[in-house]
Amino acid sequence: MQLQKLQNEALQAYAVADSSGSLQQQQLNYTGKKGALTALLKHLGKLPATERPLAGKHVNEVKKTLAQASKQAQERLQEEEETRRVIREKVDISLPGKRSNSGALHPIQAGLDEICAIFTGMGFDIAEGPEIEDEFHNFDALNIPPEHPARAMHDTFFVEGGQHLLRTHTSPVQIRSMQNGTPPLAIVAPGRVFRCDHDVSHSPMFHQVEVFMVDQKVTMAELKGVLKHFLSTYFGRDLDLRMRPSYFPFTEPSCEVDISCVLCSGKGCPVCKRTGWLEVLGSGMIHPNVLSSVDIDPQKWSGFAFGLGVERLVMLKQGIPDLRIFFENDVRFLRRLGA
Amino acid sequence: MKLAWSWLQNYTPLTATCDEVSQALTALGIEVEGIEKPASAMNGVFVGLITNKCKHPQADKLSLLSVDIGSNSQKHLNIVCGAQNMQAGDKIALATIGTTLANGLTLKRGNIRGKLSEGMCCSEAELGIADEADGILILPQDSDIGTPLAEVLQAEQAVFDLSITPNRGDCMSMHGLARELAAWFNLPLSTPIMPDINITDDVADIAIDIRAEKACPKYLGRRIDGVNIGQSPKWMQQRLLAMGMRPINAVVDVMNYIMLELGQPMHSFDAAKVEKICVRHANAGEVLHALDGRDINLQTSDLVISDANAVDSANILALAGVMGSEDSGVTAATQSILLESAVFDAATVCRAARRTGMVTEASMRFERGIDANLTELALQRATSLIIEFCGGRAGKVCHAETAAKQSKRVISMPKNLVEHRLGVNVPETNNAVLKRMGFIFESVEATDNNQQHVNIHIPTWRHDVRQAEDMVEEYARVFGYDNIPAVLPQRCMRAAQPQTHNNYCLHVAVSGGFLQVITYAFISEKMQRLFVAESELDVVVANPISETMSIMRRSLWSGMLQTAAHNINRGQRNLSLVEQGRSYAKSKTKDAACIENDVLAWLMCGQNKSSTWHDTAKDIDFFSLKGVLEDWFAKVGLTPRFIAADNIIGLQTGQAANIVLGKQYIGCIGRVDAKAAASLAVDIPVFVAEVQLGRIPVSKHKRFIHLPEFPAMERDLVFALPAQTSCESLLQQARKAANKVARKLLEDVSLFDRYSDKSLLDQGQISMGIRLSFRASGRTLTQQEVDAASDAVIKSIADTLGGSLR
Repeated sequence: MQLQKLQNEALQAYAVADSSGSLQQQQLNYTGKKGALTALLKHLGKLPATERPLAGKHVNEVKKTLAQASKQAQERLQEEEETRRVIREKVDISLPGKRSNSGALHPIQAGLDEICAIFTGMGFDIAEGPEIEDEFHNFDALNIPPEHPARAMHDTFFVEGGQHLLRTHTSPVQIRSMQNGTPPLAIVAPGRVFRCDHDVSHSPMFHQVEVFMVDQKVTMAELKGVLKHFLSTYFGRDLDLRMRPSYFPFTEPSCEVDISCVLCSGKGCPVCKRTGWLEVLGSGMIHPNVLSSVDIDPQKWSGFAFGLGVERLVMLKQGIPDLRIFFENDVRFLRRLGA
Repeated sequence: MKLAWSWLQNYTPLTATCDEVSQALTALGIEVEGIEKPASAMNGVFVGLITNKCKHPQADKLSLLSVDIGSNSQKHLNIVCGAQNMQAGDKIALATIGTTLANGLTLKRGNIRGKLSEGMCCSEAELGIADEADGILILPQDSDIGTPLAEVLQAEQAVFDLSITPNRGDCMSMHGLARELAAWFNLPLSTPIMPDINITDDVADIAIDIRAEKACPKYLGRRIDGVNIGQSPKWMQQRLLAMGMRPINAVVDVMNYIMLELGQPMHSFDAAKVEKICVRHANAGEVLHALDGRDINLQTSDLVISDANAVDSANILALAGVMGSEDSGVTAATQSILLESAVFDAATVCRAARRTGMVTEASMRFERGIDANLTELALQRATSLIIEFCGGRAGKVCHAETAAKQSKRVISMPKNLVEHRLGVNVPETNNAVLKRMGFIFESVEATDNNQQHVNIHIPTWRHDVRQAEDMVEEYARVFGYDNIPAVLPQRCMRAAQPQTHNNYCLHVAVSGGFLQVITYAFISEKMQRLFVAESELDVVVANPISETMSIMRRSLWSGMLQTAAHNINRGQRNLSLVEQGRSYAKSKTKDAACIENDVLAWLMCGQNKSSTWHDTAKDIDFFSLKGVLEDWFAKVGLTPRFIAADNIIGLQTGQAANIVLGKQYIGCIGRVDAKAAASLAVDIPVFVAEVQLGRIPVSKHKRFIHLPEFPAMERDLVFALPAQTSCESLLQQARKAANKVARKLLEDVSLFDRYSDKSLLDQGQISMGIRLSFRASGRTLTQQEVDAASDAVIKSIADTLGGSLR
């Protein structure tokens, strides 16, 4: 009876213990060296031998029960402690995160990289050339003789004292690549170009990408295929393409390439001047005179070439209204639109 | 170049709509930049008769009008009008309710100061036919009441604004454009009416002397006596206005009209001022007193029309194909005129027009090349119109032709060329369109290499078609560019390198938390001098847009510092910028050659970040940027040395270093000096660095090395050292000493602490802590080995640098 009472007392005490310290104290009170149960156990020896086994069994059962209860109480306390810890460590997750400064490529650079990646993916090699050019590579070899009206349209910057100029387009890289290599050639040439013009839609420095291929029997159909693939990939959707006959001295036939307006999907808006079309680049089949100027036999080889303005494509894709903002390099602009 | 709808109709009976014509022009390679519809801007405007006029009772400046516009109702319209220039009985242009005027205003029934107004009397400005107007438009008395105004004014249904490419001189005329459209729409094409001209024998001949045969292959002149020069007829004036030209007098208007109609620029002289015609190159020192009032100093390459060959007695009558002189021009008082219809060399005219800045309607046509067969036609047509308008007696055509007659051009084209170039078979039916455009086809039986050829006779007006490829374009044009399929090349393509060295270097820099900027390659002289002292090697732009863009940069820092200033002025003070681009300089060795170097440049200023709730911002200093560069070099696989440098222009002494790889200089780093910063009013420390990308090795693939299997042992040693001791010397000495004792066991030595306080400073000392890290490959180190090495280091630092262990 005494045993039963002790067990109930102990169980009650374990259940209400509110910390591991108090639980430990209660454990000592009952099962410690000087504990009540230990005392009972010592008392066991004084019992008659016949009663001892049964009493011993009872005591052991109680001991076991208490051990079990103590373990449970411990677990309960741990759980409670864990809950308290979690509550204690709760944070205001709405506080801003610890950010590191992340860099960004200039939007034009990102555009250049993206454009080049599309072409390298198709097997075009990247080539670069000088930005300070001579008249031969910038004009003469491209079938633009000195008195040609097209030469005047280029608004060229000249370098003082000498025959040099700032290249007006990336087409000289076409000439240099053909001089340094032999067909078949497939080249993408990104770079900086310069024209003597400065207003809302013209910057004296801007970026172009020249793309060309020279091989046997290269066709205009292939030019169109490459253009359609490129423009659809760049703008991320299947675009309508319109080619219009035009004139460039270095291509024949020549064509201006329009795409269905990416802003209004061809319905007509102020950006496309309500025509539904956006002029994006000039292209054509490389003029036989250009091939001849670098000693490539136009009877045997043919090719296509086109040059695109990077600023214009980036402006269209990212909805940038004014060309000049690119070169102001306001970091708020760069962070927002850079890549 | 403009194209007037009614004028086009004179040559070909177009039934297509405006939009269809616009599409046809586009498909033909003639860019339509805009379409004006003057007639539709006059919809709802009618001829009205003012039947009564009285003052508005409430307003002095307003009148009340009754206007009859002939509508069925007997009631006249009540109009309140603010203009002063009309009287009862005048015929005016009345816009009715609902009309949308040229300025976009739509008329509503109004009540003006208590009086009803049922329309508006229009001025020429409101109708869109003049830029400004003084009062309302008063119409001729013979205008019929109620007639739509567009009919009375013969307003054009449409005027196309075209951009003609430099190769298509033949499209610089109404007749040329009509030819293209007639061919496209399969319509007949008529030529301008050409009545017979009675030639009067008593009109004197003109002597024409051509001394510049190449520059002037053909010159026709004709004298017309007894002209009475007034205004040209209204219809001609209207056409000229629609085309954007100002009517002058009947003769000048005819000259312009013929040019617009046929594409042959013409000129008229006052015959009293011209004794003879000499076509020659100018002599140095000769001057043209041009029609526009300017004096043009001529050069020997200029082709001029003069009345004598001798310089001292000659008057310059015209810069050929560009502009005439002021005093030889035709005025209302002129009684005899001399007409010129000639062919001038395209390049000669182009050069003169560009140089003198006189790009005229005539020069634009000559420089694109004109049809030599037009000269006669144009002269005849002009003569007949002048006699019709001004009377007079025509002399005979005086003629000088120097070069052999323009030979007919025939192009032999392989029959399969079109398909080879376009990648599609163009059906023969397209030949019909080309024939209507003037090409003549001639099959050739003879074959060359078994290739079938076709001979094509090129019309004289098509200067741009010179070889077989040019014919390919003609075929493509009439076949339609839209009908060419899009085919991806199926060729053996090479595997391309996806990224250039420069681009890789830039990407690594950006990944370090930097914003890439792109600045102009040209800067001002002042900005150049901030970072480059001597100017002999500057590449200077001969024709810059402004002084601020006049010299090619030799350092990227100039533009970046300007960018920093721009941002700082806008409250953005924490900047981490990087730019990859070229610097430009003249070669020291080779004359006139320019060198372009690929450079990567950094700029940092302000604080490393904005202060936040968990962290305070730290000011950027030299070591912020040095760390950025160390990270960058580690990523591209290089370990260069930083060597203090005191003489880098634009950088502050004591905070500047050259970056050296092996023995080669590859770049530099430092703090922008006070002078440079002040020149842009930058008031915070700015740090910059640059690396010459051409001088560092192309990054190779990084090789695998096994990770260490055995643990490292570290020893931290803190020394008190003389204050001027450099970190580098300490590390170097430690490395040397440790290596001597424990060969190949020292893995790394680094600085982990640098400290000074008052008591140290008073003794002229600083404290530096270094961490030695030892590791053996293939075994665990023993305590004794490491202790021995550490002791050696302590001793060596004491002996060589005077440092004592703290």
